[in-house]
Amino acid sequence: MRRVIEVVDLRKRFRKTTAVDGLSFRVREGRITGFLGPNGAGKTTTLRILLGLVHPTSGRATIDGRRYRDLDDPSGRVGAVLEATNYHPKRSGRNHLRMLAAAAGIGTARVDELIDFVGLANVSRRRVGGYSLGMRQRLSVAGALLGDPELLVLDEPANGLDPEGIRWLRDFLRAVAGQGKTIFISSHVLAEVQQLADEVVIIHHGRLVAHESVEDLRARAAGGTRVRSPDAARLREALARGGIEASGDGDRLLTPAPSERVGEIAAANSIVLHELTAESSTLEEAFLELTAEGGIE
Amino acid sequence: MIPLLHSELLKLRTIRTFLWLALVTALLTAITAASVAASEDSIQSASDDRAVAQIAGTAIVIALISGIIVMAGESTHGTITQTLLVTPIRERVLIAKSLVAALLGLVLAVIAEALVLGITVPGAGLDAHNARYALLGVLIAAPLAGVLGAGFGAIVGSQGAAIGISLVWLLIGENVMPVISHEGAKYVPGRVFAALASGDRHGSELIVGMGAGAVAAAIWTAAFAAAGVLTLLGRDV
Repeated sequence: MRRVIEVVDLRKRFRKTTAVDGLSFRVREGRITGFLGPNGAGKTTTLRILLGLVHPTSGRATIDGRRYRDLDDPSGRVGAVLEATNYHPKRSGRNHLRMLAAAAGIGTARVDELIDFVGLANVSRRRVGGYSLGMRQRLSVAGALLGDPELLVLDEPANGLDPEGIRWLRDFLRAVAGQGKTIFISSHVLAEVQQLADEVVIIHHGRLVAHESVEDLRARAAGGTRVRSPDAARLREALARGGIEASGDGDRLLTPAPSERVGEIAAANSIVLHELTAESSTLEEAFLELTAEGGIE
Repeated sequence: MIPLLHSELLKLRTIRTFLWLALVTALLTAITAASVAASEDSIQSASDDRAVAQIAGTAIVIALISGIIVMAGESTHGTITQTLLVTPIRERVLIAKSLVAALLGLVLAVIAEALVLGITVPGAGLDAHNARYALLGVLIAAPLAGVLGAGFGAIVGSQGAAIGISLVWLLIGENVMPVISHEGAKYVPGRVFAALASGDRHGSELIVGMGAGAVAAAIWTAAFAAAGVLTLLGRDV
């Protein structure tokens, strides 16, 4: 699968602050990749470098192997929704889109089509100064879609959206992903990312912490098995002989081993089990574990 | 470049700021021209004709402010981000904005001159032939001021700060310069633009001649535009 986004040993210093510190990762074509990290982790800086808005101190961030400014048709290749996008408060939403479309050589018909698509038809001729945050986010999404790009870069797109707006965004992203487009989405709404993303890139203090599929990450963060047996003491001894530690009281034990291994050892020793549960973890739990100081290995 | 120019012109047309600036230009010019027309014997010589024509020079200052707003207004309102996402080659953005600022300056100059001529030719007996170099100077100076304003707006990056600095410089800075160097003060930006709009080919104790003023104004404009491009290229948005 082709690499659409490539970030290699990227560094950015703002005077005394290091925002991005030797970050490297790749985003593959046709995938939804979540970009996660605590506030101040360097997500927005990384995205802005990728989009040519911020200059890296060293390293590179490319799209299709080229810097953003070297793309032949930036609007047709990449659509971006950046956090806290601003508008001229006296200009209408429609005129804002017309202005962007004109610069990209796109006709007004596409503007009106997108205004309908994002549900702003009733307010498109009103000044943006009167828009709610959610309306502005929808306008940003419309702006990003003007050139019908193959790659969407979204920085906290759910910010300011009400539940209806979040549902709309989720449906929209699913529809876009269904068309085989590539989505690189930064968000702190981890439940949303868990539902949408194929894989996640997690950064902390400007460095890569993890880059793997959502399922692998959840499994890695969880990993353990909860087991209940009327013969817990004997099971604990059997596990210890297999090199597996177990903790717990009474008939309940908790081990870091996978459930398959625990089940096999119990069967081999004819030990009755009343419960054998693989501990699952949400993306949020995995994220918190990874971004805690000295997170999981 | 054509789509980019189209977009920049749309930006002008879709907010009222520039309409207000044109109205301010028209109002200031009309009031001053009307006061000349109301005074008896205000025009006695060819020099007076040139001085009256210079009323249209109001357009030069407003063109400077317009150029600043065309460029720095985007940074102030944060719309520069989206502009650069659509057109990531930043020098092209500044070139397009400079061309639009020049066009705006020309429109303001034409409005101002039409009002000066419309009011003072019948009202005060202005001889347009005697005033022709001053009128030509304003037509050249206002577009140049627009481009200079766009360059300065790119350097400062804030609309309010750039306008404030410009006005303080024109009102105070340029009047302090002769204390430092009397001859050198003739070549500061405000004075070379004044020389260009003076219509006086020989200059005076305060300003150089119109030709030298035109060359110096063009050099200042090119310098600010180049510095604006370099600043914009290096800035994190």
